[in-house]
Amino acid sequence: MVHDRDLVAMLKEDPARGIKVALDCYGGAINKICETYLRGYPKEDIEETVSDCYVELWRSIDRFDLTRNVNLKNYFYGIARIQSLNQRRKLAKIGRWKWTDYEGMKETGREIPDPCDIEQEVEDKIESEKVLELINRMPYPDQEIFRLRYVKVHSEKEIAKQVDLSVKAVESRLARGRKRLRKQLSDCGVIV
Amino acid sequence: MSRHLESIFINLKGSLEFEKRKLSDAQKKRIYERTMKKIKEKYCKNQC
Repeated sequence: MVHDRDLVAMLKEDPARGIKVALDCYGGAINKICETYLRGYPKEDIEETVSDCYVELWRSIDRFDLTRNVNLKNYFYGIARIQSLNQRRKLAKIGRWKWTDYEGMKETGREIPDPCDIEQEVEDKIESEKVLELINRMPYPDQEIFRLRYVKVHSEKEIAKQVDLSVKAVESRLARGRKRLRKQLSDCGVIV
Repeated sequence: MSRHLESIFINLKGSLEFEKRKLSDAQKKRIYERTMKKIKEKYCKNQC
């Protein structure tokens, strides 16, 4: 994985290379965000939005502040969310909603997506990304404890065995860690 | 634990899958070419 600082420099000095690297690092996730917001729209419109995200990343890279508590990944996910919402509004305005798809959904029994659900789904994913990033920055054994508890969903007793601590110590590390996470998340603009 | 923080933790597992998604080489190429075309257009516009 390329360091944020290097990718920012690449995008500023050699955009062609920077875009290629950004596509390798974030291509799948950015595509998924746009696909989720623009569910039901033609592939062409989705890819247009995806490419707008990379243009916006390049265009706004001078505004990205490496010293703030936000990594490039989350900054880019934010761009993808805004670009997708703008595109959805633009397409709705010019009547590009594919009614044929709507009919197809009815026929095949697929549910018509509720825009609020889609936004919530993407927001949840972006928030989870932030939490995961904060967990990755935790020192040992907290990082391991949080991963085991919230990613692998192990019990506190199982974790205590694996990290060679008492159950009480695991519980208190989780409690202190959650408190720190809440503070760090609110610093990033996530209200918890 | 607050309900919101709890729901974020519940979503953590899914978010790992979300990041693992990869684009095909053909998709990457299409997006790259489209992006560079727009960047060149914008860059030239700013320069002129």
